[in-house]
Amino acid sequence: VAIEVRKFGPDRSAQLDPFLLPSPTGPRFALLIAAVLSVTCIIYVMLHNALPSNWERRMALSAQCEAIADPIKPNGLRDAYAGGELRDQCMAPANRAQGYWAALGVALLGAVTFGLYWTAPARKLRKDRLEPLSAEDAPVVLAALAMLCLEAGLKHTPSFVWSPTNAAESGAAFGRRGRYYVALSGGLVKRFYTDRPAFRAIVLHELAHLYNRDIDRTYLTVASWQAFVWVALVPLLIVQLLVVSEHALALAWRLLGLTVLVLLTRNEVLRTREYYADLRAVRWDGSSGALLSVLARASAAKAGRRWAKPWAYHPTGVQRSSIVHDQTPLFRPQFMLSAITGATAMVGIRGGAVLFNDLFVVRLGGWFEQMDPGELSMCITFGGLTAFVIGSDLWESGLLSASGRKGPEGGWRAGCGLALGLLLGSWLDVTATVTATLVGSLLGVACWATLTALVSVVLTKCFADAVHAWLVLGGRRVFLDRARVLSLAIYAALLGLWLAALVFAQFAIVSSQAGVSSAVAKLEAPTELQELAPILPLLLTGSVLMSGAAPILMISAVGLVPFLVSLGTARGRPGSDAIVTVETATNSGAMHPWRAVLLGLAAGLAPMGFAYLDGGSIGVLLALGSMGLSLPLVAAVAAAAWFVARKAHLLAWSQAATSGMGAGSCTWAALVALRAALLPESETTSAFDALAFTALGWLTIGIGLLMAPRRTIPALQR
Amino acid sequence: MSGSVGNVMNDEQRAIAQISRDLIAGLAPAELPMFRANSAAYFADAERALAPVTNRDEMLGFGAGDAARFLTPVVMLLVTTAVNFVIAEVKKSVRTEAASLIASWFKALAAPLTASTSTTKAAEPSPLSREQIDRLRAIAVEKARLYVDADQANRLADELVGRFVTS
Repeated sequence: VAIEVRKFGPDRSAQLDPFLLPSPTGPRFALLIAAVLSVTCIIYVMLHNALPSNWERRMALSAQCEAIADPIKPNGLRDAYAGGELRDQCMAPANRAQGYWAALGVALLGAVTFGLYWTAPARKLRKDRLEPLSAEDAPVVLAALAMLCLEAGLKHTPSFVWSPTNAAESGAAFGRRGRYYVALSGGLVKRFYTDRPAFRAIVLHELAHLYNRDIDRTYLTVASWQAFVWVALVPLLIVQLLVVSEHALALAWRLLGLTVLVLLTRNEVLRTREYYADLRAVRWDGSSGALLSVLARASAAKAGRRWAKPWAYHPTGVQRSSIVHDQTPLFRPQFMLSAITGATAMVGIRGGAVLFNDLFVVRLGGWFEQMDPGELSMCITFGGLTAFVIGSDLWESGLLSASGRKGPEGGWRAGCGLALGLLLGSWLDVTATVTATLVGSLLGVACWATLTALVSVVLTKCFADAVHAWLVLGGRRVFLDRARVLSLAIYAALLGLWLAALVFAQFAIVSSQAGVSSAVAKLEAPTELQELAPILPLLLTGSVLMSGAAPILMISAVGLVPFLVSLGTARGRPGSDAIVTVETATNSGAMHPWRAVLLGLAAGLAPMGFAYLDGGSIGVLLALGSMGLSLPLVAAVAAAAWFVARKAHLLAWSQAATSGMGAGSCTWAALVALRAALLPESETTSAFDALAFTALGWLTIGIGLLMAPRRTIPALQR
Repeated sequence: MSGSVGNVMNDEQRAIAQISRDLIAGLAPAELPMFRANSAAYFADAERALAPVTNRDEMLGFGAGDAARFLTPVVMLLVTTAVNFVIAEVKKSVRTEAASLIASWFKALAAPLTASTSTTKAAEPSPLSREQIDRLRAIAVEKARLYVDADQANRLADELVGRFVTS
């Protein structure tokens, strides 16, 4: 389908094109289904372990494996990494058995989902007593429907069925891939003879659902939820009733929360799809009069049912009429949808991680040594999906802000929503009932929540500003799709890696309270760590940011987003095909990349230098880790104040701080590599890892610099 | 109302359906495409057919709306009431020949109302007296008011009585 672009001239009353960008509905449904699959994994692991024989066998093997000591390296030190590998290998049979159950659960869920999806049309036909609308029944109506399909430009004409005894004026689109139906009620067919424009409006709305590809997504999502209830929830509840578990209550309210979350998400997304179907119908019809009159009748009938709104599949008639008049609200990221997206992602991460870790014995090395491979892979997966959902919203919001109708506040709203969702999701996570809960310490919770909020908001806001800047400064139509996909990919990678860091931080905080002794043993610095115990959560949170180089690289990669802006600018000034003309654009606050890099270098090098000078003492490293957290933040806040005072936005100072931190971390890695080369026996990361990281980091910065324009950005000249 | 077996209607039902169809053709022609299904639904379960249908908030539907009802079941209810009334009245006055008289009358009622037949039928005397017609109208209005507004109830009653007087 060709994308239509409407230019936004100085006339701000012109409507934005709601179909300019692909809808985020697909990724949103994909995220929901992935989360359902993931939670199923967890539930099947619980079911597996609920069998006494399985649990006893696992516990016995666990005791044997825990007894395996770390091998001793040639230099006399214990090799904790190799020890961990040996213990993993030892536990592999029990983990695999658990993993097979989880895989069985997923397979069962998949099969039932497919079955429900595939049979949904037949069930609906039977339940609603729908029969084919034949030429014998209503030849004129059938001919009119064929004409409407032609008008709509549908590739495949749906089968029209009807329920002649249903007096309500309604239609519904349903079906499965390759077999789509539009159901008409008898009341709607009657409307054909009494009010032809109203009939057209309703049927075009249904055809719009087909055109907008809502049917497969919707019915697959519904099928996956129904399958989840029967395949996972019901068996779990039965087991919980049979084996009165100490976790039953905690599990119950989490599952309830999860159910509400899924239903709210599904219905919120479905309501949004109704707006798009209305708008598509109006576009085909050429006039909104008939649709508005039908909606007015509907809203009069349903006035005063506010309590039903969150559970309804459709917005109210008033809301729909309002969107037909002005589509601006569709371009604003919704706080609640961002929150629900974040929560869904967080809930989904652990289940997939359990399956991954049970089936594959993998240990990460180098910079990711302390990270759980399953969690890392799932964080990247779910973070990526989340980024595609929220990022797509932000691109739409970018159109709004770049056209001058609204400031680029969408990033704040989406970022805050995402942060709230991630926090909410960590509480709804069903694994928290059987592993550990984030109640270790109030300080720990506060640290983690702050870190999560900070990362979510800053990252999302940076992305939103970058989109805004791209659209304003270089948003040429020909590059629109490429820029959107590239920026979403970067955002997805960043958010995925960041989620991994946050999940690791959560684990570290929980461990700090629940298992200080084991952490102390692992870190080999018991006395220093115990002295730091009161502020351990804070230090651990800080160290997550600074003790591993991977998170630093992640921060530095944020710089890629602003450089994408540069790419758009460098390829040409806004021309005749610009999406937003500079005259109508608001100032994005983007600053010159060279200036950003120089400023950022100052912000980034200082903490890196501190980290290098720690000399290998873990306690000092932790302390410096927390300093490492605070120093760039202080620098960033100062830079923010400086830029905000000059009416610039977050993009500018984030560009400065992050690119500088990237450069700083690369320098640090180079120094580590040098130390590893000069002192090969020292307990530092291998020279290869450090060199690889250095090369990658500098490559990142280098690409950005090469893309940077050689001239001042036009918007800033004015 | 006794239900028909499958789609097979007895004489009484056929007469009710035919009169109702004629009335619907004048009162709500837009319901004619649905008449066959609606009449079958009425004979199967009159109460259900008469219940208003609420527009459900369906996934990928158009959205919830006002509760709606077809006129067809209401008309069929009135016709059924009228037929029962006439049968009762005829049975009262002509006890011995009632069965054959009613049977032939059903056949006349079941015949589609065309211009030529209506002229012929108009010449024939009605089996109902003036007083009986007034009573039938009052009953029809009372029944119709349960489902439609006063204006429409009066209009339905007039059409119904007119149809019976000309039969």
